Amino acid sequence: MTDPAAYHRGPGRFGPFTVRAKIAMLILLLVAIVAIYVGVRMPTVIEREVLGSALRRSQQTTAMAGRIFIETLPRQGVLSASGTLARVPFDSTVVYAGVFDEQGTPLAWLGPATEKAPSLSASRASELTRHDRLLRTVERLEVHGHHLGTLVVGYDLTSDLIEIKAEVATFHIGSLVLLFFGIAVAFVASNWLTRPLTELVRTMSSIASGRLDARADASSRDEFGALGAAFNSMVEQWTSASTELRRSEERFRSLVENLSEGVTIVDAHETILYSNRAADEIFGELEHGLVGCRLTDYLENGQLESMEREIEERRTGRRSIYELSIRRRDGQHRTIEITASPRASTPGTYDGAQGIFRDVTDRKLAEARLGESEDRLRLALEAAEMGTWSWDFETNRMVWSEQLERIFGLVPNGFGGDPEEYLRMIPGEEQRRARRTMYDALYGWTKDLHTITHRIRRPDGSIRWVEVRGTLYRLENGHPRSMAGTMADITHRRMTEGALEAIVRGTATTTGREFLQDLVRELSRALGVRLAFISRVVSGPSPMLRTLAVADQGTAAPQFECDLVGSPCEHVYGRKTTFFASGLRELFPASPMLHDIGAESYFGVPLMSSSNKPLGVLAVIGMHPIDDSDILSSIMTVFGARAAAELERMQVEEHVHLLAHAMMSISESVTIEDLTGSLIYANDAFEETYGYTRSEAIGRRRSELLSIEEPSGGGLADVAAWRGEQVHRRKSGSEFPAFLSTSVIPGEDGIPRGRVTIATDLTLTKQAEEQLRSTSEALRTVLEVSPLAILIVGEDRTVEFWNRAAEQMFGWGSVDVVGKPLPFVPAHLADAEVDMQDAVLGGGSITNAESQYRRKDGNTVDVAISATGLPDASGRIVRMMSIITDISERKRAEVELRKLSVAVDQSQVSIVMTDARGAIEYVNPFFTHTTGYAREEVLGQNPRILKSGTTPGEVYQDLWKTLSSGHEWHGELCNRRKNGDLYWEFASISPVRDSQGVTTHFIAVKEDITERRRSEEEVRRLNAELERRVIDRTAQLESANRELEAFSYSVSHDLRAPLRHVSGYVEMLRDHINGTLDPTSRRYLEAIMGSAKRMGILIDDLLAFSRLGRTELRRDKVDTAELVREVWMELEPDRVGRRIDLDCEELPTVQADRTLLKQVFANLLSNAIKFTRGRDEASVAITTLPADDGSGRMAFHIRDNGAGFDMAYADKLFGVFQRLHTVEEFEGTGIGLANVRRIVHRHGGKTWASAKPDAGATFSFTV
Amino acid sequence: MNPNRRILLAEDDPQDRELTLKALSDAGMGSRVDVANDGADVLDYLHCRGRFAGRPRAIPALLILDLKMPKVDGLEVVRQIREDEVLRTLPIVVLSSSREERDLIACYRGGVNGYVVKSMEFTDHLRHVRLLGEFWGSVNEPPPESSRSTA
Repeated sequence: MTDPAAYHRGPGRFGPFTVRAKIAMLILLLVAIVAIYVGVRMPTVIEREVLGSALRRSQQTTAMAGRIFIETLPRQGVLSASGTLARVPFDSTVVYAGVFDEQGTPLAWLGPATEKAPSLSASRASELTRHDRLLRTVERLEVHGHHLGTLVVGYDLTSDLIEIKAEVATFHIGSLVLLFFGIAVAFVASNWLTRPLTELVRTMSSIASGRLDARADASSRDEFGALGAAFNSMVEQWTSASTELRRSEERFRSLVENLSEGVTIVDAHETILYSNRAADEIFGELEHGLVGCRLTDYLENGQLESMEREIEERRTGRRSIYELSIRRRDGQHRTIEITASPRASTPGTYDGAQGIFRDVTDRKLAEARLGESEDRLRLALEAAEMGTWSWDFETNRMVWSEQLERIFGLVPNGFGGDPEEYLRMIPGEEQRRARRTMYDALYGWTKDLHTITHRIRRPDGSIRWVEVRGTLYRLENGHPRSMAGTMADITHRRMTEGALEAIVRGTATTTGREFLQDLVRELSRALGVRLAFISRVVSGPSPMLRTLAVADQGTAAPQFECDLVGSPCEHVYGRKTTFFASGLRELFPASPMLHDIGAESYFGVPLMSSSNKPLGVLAVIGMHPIDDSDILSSIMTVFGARAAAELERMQVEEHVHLLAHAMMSISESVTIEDLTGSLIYANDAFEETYGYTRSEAIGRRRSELLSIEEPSGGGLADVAAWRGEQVHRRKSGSEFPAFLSTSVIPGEDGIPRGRVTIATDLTLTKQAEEQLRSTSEALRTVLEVSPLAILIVGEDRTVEFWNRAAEQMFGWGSVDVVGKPLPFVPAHLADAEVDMQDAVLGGGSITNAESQYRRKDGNTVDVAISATGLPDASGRIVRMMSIITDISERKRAEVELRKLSVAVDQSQVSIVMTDARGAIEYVNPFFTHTTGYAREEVLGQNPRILKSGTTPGEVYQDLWKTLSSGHEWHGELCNRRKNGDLYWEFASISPVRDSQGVTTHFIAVKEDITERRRSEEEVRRLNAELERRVIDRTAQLESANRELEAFSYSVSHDLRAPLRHVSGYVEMLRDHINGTLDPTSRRYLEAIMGSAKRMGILIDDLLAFSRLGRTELRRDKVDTAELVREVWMELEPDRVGRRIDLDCEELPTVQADRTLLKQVFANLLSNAIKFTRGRDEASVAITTLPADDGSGRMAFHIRDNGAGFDMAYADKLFGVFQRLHTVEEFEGTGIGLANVRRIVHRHGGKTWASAKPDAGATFSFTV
Repeated sequence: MNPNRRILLAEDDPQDRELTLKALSDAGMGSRVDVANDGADVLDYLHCRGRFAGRPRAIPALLILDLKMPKVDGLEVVRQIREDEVLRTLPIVVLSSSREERDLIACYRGGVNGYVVKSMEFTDHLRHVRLLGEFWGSVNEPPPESSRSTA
């Protein structure tokens, strides 16, 4: 087998040359060779045959003719040659005949054409000329060696040639028939020869394609038959072996299929080639099977790594066993154990592996649960303070858990294992009992070990209670084998139970203080402490602890009192349970009592009422350190709660007692009725008021007794409370007015329990009231009409009285304010007002205190307040009366005056006041500053001391004339300072006249104008200079402007014309000689035109630039957002085919010339578009910020991501015709930015730019 | 309209004159164009005096007027025409190199009917003048030849 592909070739897939075809081709080839040979050879043979016969025939004829001539010629001579020739009996095939002499001269001729003389040397010859179908024969006529002449005869060969053709045709047809026959023979023969072979091949193919029952034909008795038989027997053998193999494979397969373990086979790429049912089931793929999948598809997160590690391991040829967590397609999580063995066809390779899978999920779960339940048990035992133990009777050893050792106060493994060691730890009688119980069980006398409880003494001497439980295990013969169980520490429980029992027993029959006493006694006994007490706290400057019950070592002890502060109870009272295990004296060195009794430990619990108010403290003080606070804590908490309840009850009792006492002692009659309306209580005052004794009244209905009608019709529940006056009748029959206040006493369940009625005899009150009313009416009238604002404020700080003057002063009417707080106190004075009221109501009084109140209309009014307290009948001050004066006017005047005096004092002018005679009464500080004279030096002097003598006399005359006529005088005076310097003053002097018009004073206000006069002079001079210069410059400017205008006029008119001519004539020239123009000339013309055009643009731009400097600026509000939008739209043609992102934030409205500003944006945006040309995604952004130069302008920044420029040339940027790029790179005249700068400058703004080459540029300007 | 109404071109620069004439000829109205060499010439033409003394008195259909001309400049010509009772209706289109705002304002204030800036681009210039000639010479209906104001 060289080519496996050929080996596996199926039937019917042969190449083009089958054996059959080869045989057929061989036969065909033989037939063809024969046919071709015969076909080529035969015509030549036929032709030779036919022509040979014709030649022979003609030669005979010629020879015969020759003979005749030989006979005839010598006799008759040459002349008769023609006759002789005619006499020769030629047959019809002779075309011509002639006789020639030796020189070639014809002697006789017969036939249509002449023939040249024969040049034949031979005696006899013949020549065939096929084309004219002629056969020429020549015969030399000799007689006895004497040459007579030469005979030439031409024969027609036509009929012979036709015969040749016919025979050849016949032969060819025969050959063709033979060929066809050969083909047929070849086909049939090949078929017949190869049939058995084909059959055999077909059989083999059948077997190869699985039809094992196919057999070759072995019937023929030749070699093929033998071959078939041999093949068949081979097939038989092979089939039986293969069937056996398949059976064993099926057995194996069914075995694997039914294995409970999963089996898979994977290839070298870990793809599953085979998987049994169990494996499919493990992976939840019963339906589809695992084949074609990969294990990694099922892995849980984080498992891939370990799986890959295992695969690596396996690839090195090792068997690996590992566990994997998988997640099945249905979502279930499983843990599987995998045993994988690699498969290798040759050592050192890896062809895949077989894996055996076991689902260990349940086992894993069980393992986990076991661990959990063990932990749980241990935790439970620990929590219950329980230890476990077991006792093997055979070895007589006990095993204790660590917890149990802890309960017995032993270190871990501190228990030796001897049961006696355990029993020895049980004190006294209990040891005996425990031993007996144990051994009873050991000897099998008891069925089981019942629960026993006993004490143990720990190595440190402390006593604990333990509860032992156990179970007996027996051998099969019934003998006890071992015992196991638990022991629990129940000390806590025992002690609590014991203490509680004792206390309940001790306090069952008592209440009140007695109860408390019993409680502390039992407590001190139960806990074995030195002191137990319940204490209240008496509040005061230093709160005191006052005991209610004290027990000392189980017996009642005297009460005591001590400071709360500095005592352990301080931490307890009203706060929380407090516990000092030891060293109490050191902690509270200030408490002598603790030292006296030798206190060591303390435990206190706060006693709280049901409404969580502190009631007192329950505390115990021990002589020894406390080692188990838990027990103490629970006992104390229980006792504390009980003591608190008792204390609370006692408090209530006390309250009730107090109330009852109070009821008895009050002067009003108090009665209580039950639900039926019968009196159940009456106080002493009732007896006095109505004349009935309590015993007479109790049990009777109140309405009957007092002969009144119930206001509510008698139903208790109808009226919860009622107040009002009634007329009541005494026992004596006399009637009197009574004021009643009744209220229903509610029960806890909401049903009324009764009604309490308080009655006051109003007889005296009424009389007094009447008297008071008339007096106060009069007083009230007085107050009401008083011109002073008077108001009265009650204790509740509301207005009780508000007179008319107050109404006028503040705007609020009496009805507006009575019963409400004072309306006029501004918020910022509210505190001061409250303070004032407090002071007055507290007994003080106020005189002319100044304040500021608010009027109803919102204005403030300055007031002076005098207030005093008004006492009630008992002399207690319950009202405040205020008398308020409006001092606004005075205040205003004061303020004015103060302001004026400050103004005068601070004034930067000299102010001088003289009396009518001119003696100085006042000068302000600036006067002394100006003149150099001190105030004291000038008081009483006449202002003429300042005279310099330079002021013209007329000025003074005018001054006095004006003043004496009562008018104010203004003028400038030149005076002299104390140091002799002259100075100029501008003086305003006015007379001050009294109400009668008499001049009493003069006031002079004088301003030092020396400096001003000097400055004015300077300013005047400078102004004149400036004016002159302005005129000069204006003239220069105007002339320059005129020149500039003339220049630009002539430029715009004249400079363009030649250019236009150049361009026009060149254009015309080009049109004119268009046909004869060579490319170079054309290029020259183009250049001329281009240059002319460019020159024109330059001139236009320059003109526009110069125009910018001359046109008038028309400032207006410009919405730059809209402007930018407009410009952007107009630049549309520049943007064609470009993608440019324009990013404008909110743009402001500015004051500017719209047309010019538009040009700025147009230039900058057009630049941005131009210089971003190389960018696929160009972006232009406009941002604004307030300019940072503090000018209040806006700064605009136009940023692009284009070509940028080198900052080294930034200063050139805004110059006229300055360009940073060549025209080839970016077109333009270089005037755009110059325009921008000129426009921005004209707006007073500035321009700048920043950029980097190839990283965009930002152009900024302010406007 | 009468296609024979004259068009008067006032241009002092001979080359500009030639270029403009070429444009008008291209528009097919070369034969209708009369040429004045300066402002004084224009006025002579309109008043049929000086070298135009023999001219039939007829107001042209259009005056194409250069602004900067020797002797009498364009603006002055406009002023005189607009002040003249007979000539004031004559359509005037200024053809100038200048696009100065000042010139524009002065011309329109003076009462011109159109203002065309001579383009630097010859082809544009040709086109503009042709359009100008076509509109004013063919499309526009000019005022009557002897349009003495009746108002």
